[in-house]
Amino acid sequence: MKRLLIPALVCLTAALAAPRAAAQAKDPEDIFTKTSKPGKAAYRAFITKESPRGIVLQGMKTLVPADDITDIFFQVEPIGVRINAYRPATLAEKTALTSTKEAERTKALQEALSKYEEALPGLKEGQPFAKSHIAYKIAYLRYLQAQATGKEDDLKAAAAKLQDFAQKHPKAWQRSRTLQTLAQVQLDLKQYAEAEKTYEELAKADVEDEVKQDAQVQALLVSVQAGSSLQSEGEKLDSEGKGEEAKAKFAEAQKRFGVAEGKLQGLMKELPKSSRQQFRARLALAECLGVAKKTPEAKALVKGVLDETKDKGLRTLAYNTLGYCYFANKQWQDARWEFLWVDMIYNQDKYEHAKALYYLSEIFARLGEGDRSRECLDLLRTDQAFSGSEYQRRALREEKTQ
Amino acid sequence: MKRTLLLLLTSATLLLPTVRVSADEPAELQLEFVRKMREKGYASLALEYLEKLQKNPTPGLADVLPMELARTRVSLARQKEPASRAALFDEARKELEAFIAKNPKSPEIANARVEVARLVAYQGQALVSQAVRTEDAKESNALAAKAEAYFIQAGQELEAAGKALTKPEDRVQIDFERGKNFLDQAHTHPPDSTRAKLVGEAIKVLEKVEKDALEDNTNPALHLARGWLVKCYQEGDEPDKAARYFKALLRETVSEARPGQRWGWYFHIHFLPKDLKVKETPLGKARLIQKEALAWLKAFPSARNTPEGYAVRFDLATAYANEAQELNKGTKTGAKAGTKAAAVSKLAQKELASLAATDNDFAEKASQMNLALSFQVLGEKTPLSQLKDFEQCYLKARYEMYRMQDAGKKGGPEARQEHLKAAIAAFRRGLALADAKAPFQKLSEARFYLAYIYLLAGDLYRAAIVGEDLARSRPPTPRSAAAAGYALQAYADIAGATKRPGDRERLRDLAKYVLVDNATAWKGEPVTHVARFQLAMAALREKKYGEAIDYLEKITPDYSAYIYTQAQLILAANAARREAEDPKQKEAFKAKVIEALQRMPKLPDSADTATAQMYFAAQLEQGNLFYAGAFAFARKGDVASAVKKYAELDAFQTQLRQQYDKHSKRFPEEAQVDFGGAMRQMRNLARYGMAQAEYRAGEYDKVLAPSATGDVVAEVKKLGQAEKGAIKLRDYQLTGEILGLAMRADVQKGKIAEAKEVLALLRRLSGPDDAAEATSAGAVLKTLVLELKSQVRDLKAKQQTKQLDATVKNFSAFLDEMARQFSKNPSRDDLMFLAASYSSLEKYGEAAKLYAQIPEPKIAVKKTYTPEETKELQDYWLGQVNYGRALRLENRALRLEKQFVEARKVLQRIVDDPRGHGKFLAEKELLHMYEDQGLYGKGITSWGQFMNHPTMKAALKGMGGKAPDEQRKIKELYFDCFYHYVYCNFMYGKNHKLASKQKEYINRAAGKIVNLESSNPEAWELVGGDFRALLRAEPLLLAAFREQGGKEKIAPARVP
Repeated sequence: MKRLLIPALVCLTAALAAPRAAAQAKDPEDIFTKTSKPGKAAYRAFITKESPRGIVLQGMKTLVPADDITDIFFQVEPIGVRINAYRPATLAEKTALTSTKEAERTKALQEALSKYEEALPGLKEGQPFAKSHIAYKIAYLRYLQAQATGKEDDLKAAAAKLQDFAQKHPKAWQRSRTLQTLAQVQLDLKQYAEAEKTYEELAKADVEDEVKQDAQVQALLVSVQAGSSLQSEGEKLDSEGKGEEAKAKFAEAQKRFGVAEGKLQGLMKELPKSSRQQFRARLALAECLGVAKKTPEAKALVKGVLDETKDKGLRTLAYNTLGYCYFANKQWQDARWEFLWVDMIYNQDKYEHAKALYYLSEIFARLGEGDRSRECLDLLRTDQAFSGSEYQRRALREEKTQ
Repeated sequence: MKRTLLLLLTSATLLLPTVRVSADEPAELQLEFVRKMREKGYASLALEYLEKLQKNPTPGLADVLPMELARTRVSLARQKEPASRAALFDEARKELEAFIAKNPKSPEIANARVEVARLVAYQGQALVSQAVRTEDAKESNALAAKAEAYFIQAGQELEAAGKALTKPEDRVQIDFERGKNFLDQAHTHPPDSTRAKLVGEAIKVLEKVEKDALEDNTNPALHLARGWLVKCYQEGDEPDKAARYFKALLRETVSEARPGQRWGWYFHIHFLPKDLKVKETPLGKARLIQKEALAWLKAFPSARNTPEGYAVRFDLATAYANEAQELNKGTKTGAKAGTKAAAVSKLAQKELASLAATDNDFAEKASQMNLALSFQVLGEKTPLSQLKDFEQCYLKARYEMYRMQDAGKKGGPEARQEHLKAAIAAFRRGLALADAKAPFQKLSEARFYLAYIYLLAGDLYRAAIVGEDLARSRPPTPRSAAAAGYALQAYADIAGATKRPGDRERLRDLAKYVLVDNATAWKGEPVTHVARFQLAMAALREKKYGEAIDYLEKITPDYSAYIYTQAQLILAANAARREAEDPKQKEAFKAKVIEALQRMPKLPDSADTATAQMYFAAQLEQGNLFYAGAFAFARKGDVASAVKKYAELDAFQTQLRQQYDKHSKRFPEEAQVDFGGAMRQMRNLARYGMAQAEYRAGEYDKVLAPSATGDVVAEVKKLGQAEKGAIKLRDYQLTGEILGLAMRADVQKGKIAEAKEVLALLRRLSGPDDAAEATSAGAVLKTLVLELKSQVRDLKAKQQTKQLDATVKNFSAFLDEMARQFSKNPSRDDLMFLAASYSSLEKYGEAAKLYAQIPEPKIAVKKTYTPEETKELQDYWLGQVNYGRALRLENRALRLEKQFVEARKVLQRIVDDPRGHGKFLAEKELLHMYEDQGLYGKGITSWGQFMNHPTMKAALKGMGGKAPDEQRKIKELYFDCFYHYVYCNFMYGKNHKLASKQKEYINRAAGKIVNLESSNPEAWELVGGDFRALLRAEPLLLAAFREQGGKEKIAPARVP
C-alpha cells in the first residue's frame, strides 16, 4: 500500500523551516530528516551528489538515505526568484497541507503549484538538485490536486507529470517516492497492470534492499487488488444475471490470487526469517488470502505474525490487515474489533490509524451506527495528525460528494 | 448457480469461530483496550468485549473482570437516559459487591468500594436529573430528597473505603470523590443555607485534595480537584477565584491533567452566561460560548461522547440557537442577518440532532430544541400538498405529533385526533417522496413514528406492518428494536380481536425474531420484555399457564411495565393452581405466586391506571394466601396460629386499603365497585376468621368486639336503618356468617334482645341482584343452622359437656323466645328455620312439632310445573324429609315400633307422592331406620343396593362437570352410605350368635375400613372421622383393623 504521509511531512517541515532560511546567495541547503526537531534542519550543507539511495553532503562521507529525508530547502538563485516565487511556494504548500478548510486548502495548493512553476524556469543554471526538487514538487502537488478533485483527467495529468519526472531524473533521490506516488495514481485510475509495473521498476531500481523488497510485496498486492476488482465486477455481473461473463471474471480473479499467492509464498522463503520484510510479506499474503475469501488461512497468518513479533508497527499492520480481510468478506462485526485495536491501542502510526478510522466509519455505517460512523470521519477529517494521508483525503472527498 | 455459491461462501465465512487474534494480547493491554473504549463513549462495545473475555478468561484477567464489567456497565448506564439507568446500576452494584465479598484481600478492594460509592452517587444524580425535569413541585422535592439519601450513602461508602487505606497518597482519589459528592448533595437543595454549607464542605475537601496532591503533577486527582473547584467557587460566589483556578488548570501540559481540564473548562463555558465579569451583549456571549466550546472539542476530539463532551456540545448548540435568535431580531433591518441566522440555526440543529440521536442526559432536551428550531424554519401553516420533499414532510409530521401531544395534555380529543391524522398524512407523503437524498436515519425515524401513530390511531394492521418492516431492516437502525415493540403490540391486539391462528403465528414469529435472532444485538432492550410479555399473553389465551409464567418470570425490573407483568404472572399462576389436579403442581404454582408477590415492587403513586388495577388485583391474591394460611390452621384446630394469620390478613387489608384509596378515584366505576367489594370481602374474611376462632374458644366478648364482628354489625345496622326491606350486599353470605357469629355470641351471652335484632338484620340480607330477598336470607340462615349443628357436634365429640349444655340451654332459650314470637302467624321460612335450629340442638321433638306445622302447597299433580311451583314443592318436601328425620331421631333411642310408624309414614309419603322431591334422601332415611331398629342384616343388603341406586350412579357419573363444592357433597353422601354399610356389617357380626360369623363380618368391616384408609385419602378425609369414632368405641373392630394393617393410631375409648 502506498504511503503518502511521508511526502506530506516532507513538504510540511520544509515549509515550516522556510521563513528561517537565510537569504544569502551562497548559503548551504537545509536538509530535514525524520530525526529533525520540528522546524529545525538536521543538516545545513551543500549537496555534492545524489542517487535514488540518498544524497551526499559536502564534508561528509556517509550518505543521507533518501527514505530519511523529509524535505530540503534550497537557497535558490537568483534571489528574486527565491523571494518572489520559491519561498511563497513553500509557504502556500504549508497551508495546503495543514489547513482543514477545504477552500483554503484548494487555494493554497493552487498557489504553491503556480509559484513552483514560476520558480522553475527562472532558476540560474548550475543548480541541478534544486531544479529536480522543484520539478518533483510540481509533479507531487499536481497529484494532490488531482486527488482532491478525483477527476480522471486530473489524475491522468498527474500520472504523466510523475512519469515524466521519473524518466528525466533517473538518479534523483526522490525516485523511490516518485514511483510510489505514481503507482498510487495508477491504482486510483484502476491501471493495475501499470501500477504493478511501476512497483516492479522500483524493485529493480538502485534503492535500499528494504525498499526493493517492499516494492516486490506492493507489486503483488496490486495484483491482489486487481483480482479483487475483477471479483467485484463478477459479482455485479452475476447479480445482473450475466452468469457466463461473471464466471470468466471470477476465474480470472482466482487466477490472479493464485499467482500472487504463489509469488508471495516464494518471496517469503527468500526473505530472512522473522525479518521485518518477511513479516510484511506474510501480512501481504494474508491480505491476498483474505480477499480471495480464505479468511481462516488469512487469520492464521496474521496470528502467526502477532505471536512472533512485539514490534508495534508490525502489530498495527497485522490488525489492519485482518480487519481489511474481514471487511472484504462483509464480516463487519469482526472487522470492527480489529480496526478498533488500531484506533484504541496501536494508533502511533498515523497512516495506519487513519486507515483504521476510515474503515471503522464505513463499518459503523453498515451496522446502523451512524453517529459513531460520523464521529470517526470527523476525527479523520479534522485531526491535523492525519494531514495529507490518503485516508484523510478520501474522507474529505467523500464529504464533498455527500 | 454462481450466486448460490457466493452466498454459501459468505455464509461459511460468517460461521467461522470468532476467537479474536487479540485474545493473546497481554491482560493489561486488553484492559487498556476496554478502558479506552469506555473513555471514547463505546461502553456498549467494551461490554460486549468483556463478556466475550469472560467466557474464557486468561489467568491475569479472571480476577479483575468483574470489576471491569461493573465499571463498564456504569459507563453504559451513564450514556443512557436517566430513567433507563437503574437496571444497569443494579447489575453493576451486584457485581461489585460480589467482587468485594469474594476478594476481601484484593489490592483492588478499595477501588471496588469507591466504584460502589460512585454508583450510589450516580443513582442519586439520575434522580436529580429526573427532579429537575419534573414539573410537579411536590414530586420534584420528593425525588431530590431521595437523591440526597443516595449521596449521603455514597459519602458513607467513600468514608469506609478511605479508612481501609493506610497511605495518604492512596486516599487522595477517594477524597476527591467525597468532595464531588458533597457538591452533588448540595444540588438536591434549593439555594439556601444548607446548600451553601454543603458547597463549603465540598470546597474544604477538594482544597485538601489539591494540597495533598500538589507535589505530584502526574496525579490526575490534583487536576480533577482543581476542575471541580472551578465549579464550587462559581457556585460559592467566588467567580474570581474560579477564573484563577481555571487559568491555572489550562496551563498544565501533562497528559494526566486532561480529565480535570475537560471538566474545569466545561464549567467555565457553562458559567459564561451568568458571569457578570463578561461584559458582552447576548449575541457576543453566544459567540464567546461557541468559540470556547469549539476550542474544547478541538482540544479533546475523542471526548465528544463523554458526559462532559455531551454537556459542552449542548452548550454549543444552545449558543448557536441563541445567536440565531439574536440575529433574527434584526432581520427587519437586513436580509444578510437573516441568512446568517439561518446558517447558525442549521449548525445548532446539526449538533442537536447528533445529541438527540444517542442516549445521554441531554438527548431529550436536544430533541425538543431541535424540533422547535425546525418549526421556526418551516412555518406552521404551510399545507401538506405544498411540501416538496421528505425533509419538509418529516418536519411537518413531527410538528403535528408535537401538537397532538399538546392537545392530549390540554384534554382536546378532537383536536388530538385531527393532529394525529395530519401526522399520519405527512409521514406517508414524506415516505412516498423520499429519494436517495433522504437521510437514512431520518427515514427510519419516520417509519418508526408512523408505526407508533398508526398504533395510537388504532390502525393496527398498518402499525404492525410498518413496525415489523423497520424491525427487520438490515442493517438495523437505532429504532428497529422499538419498532418491533410497536409491531408486537399491534399483532397482539389484532390476535386478541380476531382470535385467528394466523395472527397469533405472526406475533410469535416476530417475538422469536426479537428474542432469538436478535438475542445479542437487542439484549436488555425493552422490546425483549415486550416480546416476552406478548408471548405470555398469547400463551395465557390458550391456557398454557406454565409457558406464560416462564416468559413473565424472565422479565426484569428495568422494564417500565414490570409491575403490570408480575401482577399478570401472579394471576396466571393462581389460575394454573386452581386448574391443576396434581397437588405437587398446585404447590409449585402457589410458590410462583408467592415469589412474584415478594419480588413485586411497591406501587408508585404515579402509576398509570391499568398498572394500578393489575397491582391491586394481584395484591388481592396475597390476601387470599393469608386467608388460606389462616383457614388451614383453623381447620387443624390450631386456633392461636389461625387468629394470628387472620390478624395479619386484617393488617394487610388495612394497609392495602390505604394504598388503594390513593389510586381508586382514577379507576372506572365498575372497577371501583369490584375492588371496593373485594377489599370489603377481604376485611370481612379476616374479621370472620378471627371471630370464628374466638367463638370456638368460647371468647364471646371478643367475638362481639368491633375489630371482630362489631364493626360489621354496626355497618349493617346503619344500612338497615337507611333502607327499608332488603339490605343488599355483594358479600351478603360472608356478612351473614359474621352476623350469625355475632348473633350466636349474643345468645351465648344471654343477650336475647341483641340476638333477635341481629337475626332480624340477617333475614334482610340479600345479594345485589337477587329479585327475591328470601332466597338470599334463606341461604344465610341455612348456613347459620349448619354452623350451630357443627358446633354442637364438635362439643359432643370433644366431650365438652359443660359447654355443650350451656350452648344448648342458651340457644333453646333463644329459640323458645323466637317460637313464641312466631306462634301467632308463622311463615313457612320461620317454621323451617326454627325447626332446623332445634334439630341442630338435637331437640328433635320440638323440631318435629314445627315441621308438622308446615302447610302443604296447594299445587295439583300435573305434567309440568312453573319454576315457582317447583321451588315451593322442593322446599316443602325437603322440609318433610327433615320432619321424617326428626321423628326418626327423636325415637331412635326408644326403638319403639309405634313411633317408627309415624316416621316411616312421613318418609314413605315422600317416596310415593308424584310431586315428591328429595325422594332419594327419604329412601336413605328409611334405610337408617333399619339400623335404628337393629335390623343390620337388612341394612347390609339395603345400603349395598343404595350405593348402586340409579340416582347415586347418575350423580357420580355427572360429577366432573360440577363445581368443587357440589362434587364434595356428592362424595360425602356416597361415603356416608359406605360408612353405614360397613357399620351394618360390623354390627351384624358383633351381634351374631356364631363366633365364626361374628369374626367373618367384623373382619369384613375392618377390611373395608383398612382398604379405604390406604387407597382413598380423599374419602378418608371425608369419613375418616366417623370411622375413627367407631373404632375408638368398638374394641373388637379396632383389633381387627390393626390386625389387617390399619395405620391410624387410635386409642380405645376409656371405660367410664
